Amino acid sequence: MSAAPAQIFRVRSGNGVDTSQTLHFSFDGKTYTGHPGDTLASALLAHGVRLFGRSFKYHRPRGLLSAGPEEPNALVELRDGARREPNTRVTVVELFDGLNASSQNRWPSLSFDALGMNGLFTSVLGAGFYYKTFMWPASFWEKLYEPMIRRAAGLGRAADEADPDLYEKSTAFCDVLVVGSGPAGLAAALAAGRSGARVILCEQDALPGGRLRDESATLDGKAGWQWAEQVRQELAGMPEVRVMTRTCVFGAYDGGTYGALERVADHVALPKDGQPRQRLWRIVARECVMATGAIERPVVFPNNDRPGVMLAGAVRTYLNRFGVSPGRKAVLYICNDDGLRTALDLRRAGVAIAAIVDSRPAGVGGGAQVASQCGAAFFPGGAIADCYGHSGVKAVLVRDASGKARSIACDLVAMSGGWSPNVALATHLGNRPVWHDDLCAFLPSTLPPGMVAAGAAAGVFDTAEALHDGAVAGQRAAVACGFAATLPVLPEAEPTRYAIRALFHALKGVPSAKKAKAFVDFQNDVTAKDVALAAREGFVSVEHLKRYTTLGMATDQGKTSNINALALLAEITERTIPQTGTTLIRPPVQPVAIEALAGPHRGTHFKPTRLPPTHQWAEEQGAVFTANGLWMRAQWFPRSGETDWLETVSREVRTVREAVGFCDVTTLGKIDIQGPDAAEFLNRIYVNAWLKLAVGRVRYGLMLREDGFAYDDGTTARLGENHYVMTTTTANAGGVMAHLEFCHQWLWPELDVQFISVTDEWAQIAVAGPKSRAVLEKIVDASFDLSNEAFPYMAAAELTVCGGVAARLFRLSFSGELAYELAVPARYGDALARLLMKVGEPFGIAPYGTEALGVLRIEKGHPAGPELNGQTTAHDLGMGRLLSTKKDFIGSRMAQRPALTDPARPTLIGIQPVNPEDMLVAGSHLLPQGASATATSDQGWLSSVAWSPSVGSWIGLGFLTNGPARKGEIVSVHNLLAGTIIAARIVDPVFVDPKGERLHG
Amino acid sequence: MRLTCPSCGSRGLEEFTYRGDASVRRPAADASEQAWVDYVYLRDNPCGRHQELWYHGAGCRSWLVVTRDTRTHEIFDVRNARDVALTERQTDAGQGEIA
Amino acid sequence: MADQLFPVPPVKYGSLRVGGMTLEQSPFAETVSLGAFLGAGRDELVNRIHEMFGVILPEHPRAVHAADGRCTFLWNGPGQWLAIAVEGLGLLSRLREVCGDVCALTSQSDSRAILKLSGPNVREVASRLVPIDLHPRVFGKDHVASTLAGHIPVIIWQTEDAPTYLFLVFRSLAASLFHDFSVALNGLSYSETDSCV
Ligand SMILES: [Zn+2]
Repeated sequence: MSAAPAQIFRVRSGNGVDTSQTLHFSFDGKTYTGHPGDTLASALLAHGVRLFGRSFKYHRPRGLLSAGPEEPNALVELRDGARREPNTRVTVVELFDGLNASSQNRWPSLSFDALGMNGLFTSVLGAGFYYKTFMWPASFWEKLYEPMIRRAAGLGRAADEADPDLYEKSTAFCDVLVVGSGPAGLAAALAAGRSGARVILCEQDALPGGRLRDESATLDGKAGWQWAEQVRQELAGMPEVRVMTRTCVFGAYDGGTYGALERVADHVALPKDGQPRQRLWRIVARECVMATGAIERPVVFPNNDRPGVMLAGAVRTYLNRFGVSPGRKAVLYICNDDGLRTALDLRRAGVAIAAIVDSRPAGVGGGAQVASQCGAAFFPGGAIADCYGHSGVKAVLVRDASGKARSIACDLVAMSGGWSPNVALATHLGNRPVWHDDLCAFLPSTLPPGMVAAGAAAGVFDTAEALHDGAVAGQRAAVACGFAATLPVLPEAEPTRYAIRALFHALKGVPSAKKAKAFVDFQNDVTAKDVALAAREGFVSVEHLKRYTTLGMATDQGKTSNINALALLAEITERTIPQTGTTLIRPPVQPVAIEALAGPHRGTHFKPTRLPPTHQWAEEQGAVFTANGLWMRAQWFPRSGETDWLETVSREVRTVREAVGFCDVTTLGKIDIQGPDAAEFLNRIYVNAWLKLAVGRVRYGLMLREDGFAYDDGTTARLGENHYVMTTTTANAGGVMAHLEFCHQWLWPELDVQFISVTDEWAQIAVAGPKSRAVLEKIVDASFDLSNEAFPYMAAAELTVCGGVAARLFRLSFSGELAYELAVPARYGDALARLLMKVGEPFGIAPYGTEALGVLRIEKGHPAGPELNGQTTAHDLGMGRLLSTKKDFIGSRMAQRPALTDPARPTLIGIQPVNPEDMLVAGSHLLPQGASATATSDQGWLSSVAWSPSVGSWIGLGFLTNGPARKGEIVSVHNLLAGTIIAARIVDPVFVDPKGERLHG
Repeated sequence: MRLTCPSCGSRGLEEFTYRGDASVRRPAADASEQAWVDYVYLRDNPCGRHQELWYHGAGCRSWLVVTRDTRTHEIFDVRNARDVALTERQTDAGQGEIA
Repeated sequence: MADQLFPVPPVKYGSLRVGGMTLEQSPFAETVSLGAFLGAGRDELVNRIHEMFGVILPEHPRAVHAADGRCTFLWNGPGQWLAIAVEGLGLLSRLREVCGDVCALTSQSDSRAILKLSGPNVREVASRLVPIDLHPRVFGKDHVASTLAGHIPVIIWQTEDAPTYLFLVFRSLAASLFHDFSVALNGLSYSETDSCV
């Protein structure tokens, strides 16, 4: 590495940098130095670097246009490896030691770009080129056009690996949110903060002050930034005020909600351990003072994109804040007195002013006086007609008021087309800004509730007025929140004049006549000619213009281009700007990384995980887990020697059929229902009858939606006179709870019934198999009679186990075997699993997972999620006879519609391949044998399939037109994804113990 | 967007779920099929004030009747659905007596 | 054989200390939900609780403490409360005697784990996950709220003036919540923002 070059353009010490310390960084492999407080832009500029990137479409050399977040040109890839961040604006990158950046969109190198010749094919790449050039044939898109365009026109490369950093989310509440810490924002925060209101002041920059840091103007005779620091100190001492720097409020949302992004560790090489890189804030504010300042407009003139052509205000920022001069010899191109400050600041820094080109006619504004002060040639009523210098400005062609043109040598053009108030936040909720001819600017008219604009954002450009405007806004906001706020004493500011006359472009006549490119949108390479072309082709609505030319649609969202484009379109179509329109600005104001939006909810923590009580025990058993909604459930329990999951699952199924197995079914939703009207309530919720269910008994219940389709099913036990406990499917537990609350609170508030979820209260374990009773006898306390007579199928009881632990026992079976579900308080669930293993060992007990559970229920023909898929009716599920005709229940009326009871509807059937080894696949279509694979021949589908160790064959459940009447028929099972067709027989859906004898054993 | 739950106070949208039009009423079991089809499927889509049902599922589990401007999302009123339903029943019963 | 069913806490980790703040699992507590029946049930419930425990059941999201200090009632929705007491008090059977005929009583002891967050800056830590305003002007000692912590439903209960929060969370979600708070605690230990609001 060679020694770092000198900072030859660092002409003095800026108010925002600490030149006592030196930082080292690299750009495109070359090492440079800078200082704390520098941006990557100012540090490179200090070394005389002018070329920062290549433009998007034409690969033209580009330098800095601005000094802030509106920068369209100078985008780089920051950092490398997994932290590589493309399209990063060098103007907002705070310098840190070891920073590494590279230019993008150039090949093979920044200074020599082979694709710069795209500029020679301008006619091809003009407005709408995507739509026109690459239309036919379609196959060329994938193979030729897309790769070509991507190579030729592109931005940076995203990192290839996952982002290793942490991101946080947070919520904050305040009375008054102040966005921006320029003169208006600081005054607003001061007025509101002193009243005792809760205030949040957000500043996207690292330092407060806004333009006070960028200008040489004074407050109370001292540098403006010193006042900003003083206010920041005072605000920091107020207990209810929070000053958030490096925090951009990027969006305004309904109800006084704002989105903000805090760049916690973007300004350091690496976040500390545990520290987030960025933090996404949701700020809920009763009042909001939008003091977001203004963005300066460039002027559209031929070759206005040469490196060295900059916004005048940015030139002052580099001079005053960073102590860097962007050039040695400057030409000003202005239309207002604010731009004239640039000449005076440059002069003070020892930079020569070659000329001041003022578009205003002679006698308007202070140009003549400033020109003579600076010894500059003065061109009132003038224009810059062209700009020379391939990779940096060397001269401009100045046309005076009489039309005479002359070339003037310079290396810096400072331009000001006036300032556009930064009204984005005010428009996010659909409030359209209104054009003000006197200021040549859009200003907010109506604002979202609780929001007020202050300072430059409200078109108040004079510092003294902005201070006052902000203070009034802050005071009123605090008063609106009930605080006794007064106006603070404000510092004296030097008076300023703006005196703007509209200047959007320097193109005489119709822009399309010009050959040289005059850029409107720098980032998307949209020229004045493109705007004219679009207008000529009929795209006279600004919304159409944007989409056709892509103007304003790059990552900068047109911050420096939208208004110039609108003005050009207005002129071409001979309308005023208000007649031509405006475009609403959408959030976010600045790009927000997707990681910040996700916050900590990434990877395995994308959503929370619910762990059943036996989870830790199952982990110890080496279980394989599966996600079931939020729940993590044991899928199967492999044993050593088993070679694949099917072997394990088949063994678990056989254990249940031949001995005894157990499975944690805690995840089923459990709802405690109590009250005098509980039975009546259940009667209205379920399709079947509930009024006569005896205490100590369980009943299966099916719920419909009000449209008559099946919703959920489960069992409900009656534990006492007015006490029931309902189970729901795991997937619908939350939904059923909301459904019950809806029915109770809204449909039938007169019913006296109470609900509460007890899903987590009870560890519920299914113990299934011919030896399940023998196992339970070892656990339930002796006083309880488990015999078939005393506790038959579908019985329920509250009892004690293990010497006095309160428990619930249900004689239920999903497997078709003699089976129970035992519930103990959840804290004992882990121990219960261990105990079952121990006492069940002599009986050959084994745990089984959700996969075996699935096989067992398919073998038994029990519908589950794949069957209750929202498109099936009770009739389809073979449960048409459950529907009571004697009562009103949810779905009762609509379920009677003829189309829902049509016997030709696909109805639940069992299916078994003719060759038992032929694998069935869920989702396959059922067609008559020999029928062509067309939709008209489609007669149903397979919903659930399994290899059945009990049957010794693949089996499935599905739905088939006229299904129950077609038992014995052989149909074709079409798996369209795999392209296979197999022959299978329609059978009864109950494959095992069709008479149900085992259940009752 | 934020809603002020009568029980819990001002809360963010993420605590609520939307159900829809609160002006439709479940017909009697023996009402015409047309009445049922209207209830289950037909909804107005008004521009402006709209009474709608929301569920404070991540809060107090109350169903709420919210009056909202569909254009601006301005919230005019939030009431417990249960109170609204009970009041309607009392009114209906009272009218029945008069008749 | 009773010793064969031993209790296992919902979160297997112990406590976590970061920057003077502590995240820990509270000991098992007996918790019972009360849901008032219609008619005179609600007034009768309030009366009987008042007689027996010397406290008025709150109509707003608050916690109130029984006169003998051994039981706390938390508002848990319109007409619903949670009674919480230390283990061994036989809370459910006691409540059945007092008011079993006028309200639904359901054990919630095992439904919820209780995570306790204490120490300086816990309000800031809580704000990483909890989307409600916890400022002392709005939320103080014995205020409770049913809300979310990230994606997880919780009941947050402030038990001290210098904020100490209890988070009542469904048992199955307790480990996830513990993780989420540990991330928030670690993130805050390096925070550079003013932590006053
Ligand atoms: Zn609520």
